[in-house]
Amino acid sequence: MSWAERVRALPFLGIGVSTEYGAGARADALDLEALRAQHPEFGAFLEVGVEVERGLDPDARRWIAAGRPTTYHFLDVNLDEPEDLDPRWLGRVKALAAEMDPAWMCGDAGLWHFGPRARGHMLLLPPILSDESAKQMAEGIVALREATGLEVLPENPPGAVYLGDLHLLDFYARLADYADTGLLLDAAHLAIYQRVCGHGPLTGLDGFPIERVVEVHVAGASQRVVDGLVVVEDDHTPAVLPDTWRILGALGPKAVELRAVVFECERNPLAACLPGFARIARALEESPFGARRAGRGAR
Amino acid sequence: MSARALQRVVVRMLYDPALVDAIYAGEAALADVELTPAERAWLRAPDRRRWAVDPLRRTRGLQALLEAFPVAGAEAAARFGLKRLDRFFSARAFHDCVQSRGVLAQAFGGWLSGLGSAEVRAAALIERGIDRVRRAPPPGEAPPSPAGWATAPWAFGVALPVGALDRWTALRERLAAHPEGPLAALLAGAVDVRRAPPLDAGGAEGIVGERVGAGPDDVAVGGAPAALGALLTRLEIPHDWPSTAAALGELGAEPDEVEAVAAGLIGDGLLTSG
Repeated sequence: MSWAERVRALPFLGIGVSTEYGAGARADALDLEALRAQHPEFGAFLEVGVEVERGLDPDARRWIAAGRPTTYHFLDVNLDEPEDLDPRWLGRVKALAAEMDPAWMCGDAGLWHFGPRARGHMLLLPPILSDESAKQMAEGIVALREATGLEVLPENPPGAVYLGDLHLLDFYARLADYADTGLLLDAAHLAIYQRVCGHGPLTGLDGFPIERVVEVHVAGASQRVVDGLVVVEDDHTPAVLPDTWRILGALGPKAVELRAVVFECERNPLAACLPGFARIARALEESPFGARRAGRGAR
Repeated sequence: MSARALQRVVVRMLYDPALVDAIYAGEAALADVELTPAERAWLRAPDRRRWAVDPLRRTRGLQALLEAFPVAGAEAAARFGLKRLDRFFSARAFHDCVQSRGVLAQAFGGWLSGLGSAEVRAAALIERGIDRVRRAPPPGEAPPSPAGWATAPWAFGVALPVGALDRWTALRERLAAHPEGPLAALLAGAVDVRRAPPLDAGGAEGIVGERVGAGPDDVAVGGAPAALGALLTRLEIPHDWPSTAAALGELGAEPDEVEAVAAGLIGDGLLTSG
């Protein structure tokens, strides 16, 4: 089936949060149970960041055991390296997915580790922004989709250095085309990319297939100065950059297949996150996503 | 063009400011990598300060490596200082490892063993073997071995100067006894390596390690004949049967015994044949 046919089977999730192993252990971390109890409209689903070597932490297991919706965010696969989808890793991914029953799989389509998965090899870099790289990555997306039976939505990673002859949005447009897949657009990561490259926050969006965007991430960021250079860190604070809000606002009306928005704020207390959640809801209120969320559109 | 090769160069540049300097200076710094002129130009396009926005990258990398090499790290730090260990990330061994999709801990162990100290070398080869075994799947999950005769992925062996195992065991125990753990002990120089049992370069002993459980830390290390340690080191690279038989012969097996000896080593879980 083509993407246009497959997307109809994906559920609408709403506004949710993300976590990764041990994120909730900090004293001031987001309390998922409190969010769910006090503001269920902002805790509609949990995006679980998974590195198979670590598995699921108690917070994720509790959420899953309650039968609540999830998505599977991989943290350990280089989609452009065929050898990375080895049988042992795939077997463990499938076992975790069977336990989670996620709506789909997603994750940063970049370099999660150099060499094989091993101690000291983990990092996260953006892909080389070239057509060759997009084709190699598309093969990995198709292979992972076929192996797991789940949609695999590639996400634009953060970075300090971007190489290649394509704009990041053009790269992901080609990737979506080659893999015939939907997309996860991280608005905060895009804002960082645009700044690094000296672009305006919305540069390139006009040629980007927003209709393929199924999920959006919003997160805060901080600035620091290194050797006189202003660097934006994707540190998931609740302080969202104005550029990120602009990107979210521009996406909203055109994102006709948007089904999930994550506010990545897992290491912050609930009270500090609520204004961000509320602003996301307001920003998308008049969009197709907002209509679905309010029960005014097809879910 | 190779996006994958270019991506590996990116990793090398993020770790090694000397490589960044060479590339921005236009030096022939990447003769080992097939890149197009356009790709080489891409490497110089970013503001060069962007390659150094994470000043702790090497520190974190070294920390992860020292966790796998606590005794070798302590031996090396005591002789050469921690700054010398940081230089691994500018060494040929590091760059070759990243560019060839190798395992960093294996490259680090090899690099440590070449620093010029018998004590560092002994500990590095033991801990390199342990790292190899830790990364292998448990025996029940082992993938098919490559063609030829090879040391089983869940085993290792080395031949080292007499006293190497006692020295390594003693230092490992002293590091582990530190209240904040072996890495903290290493970084603080809390264990005096001069008080560890000495090596005797006049003789050799074998040391063999095996994965003995499902957990990655379930590795048992013990003494063995030096010849067996040497054989297992040699067969980390798969060999065909004639060269394996020759190696067994060099180690003392009679021609009519080599098949039985090899079968015994397979039965012991030390060798595989595919």
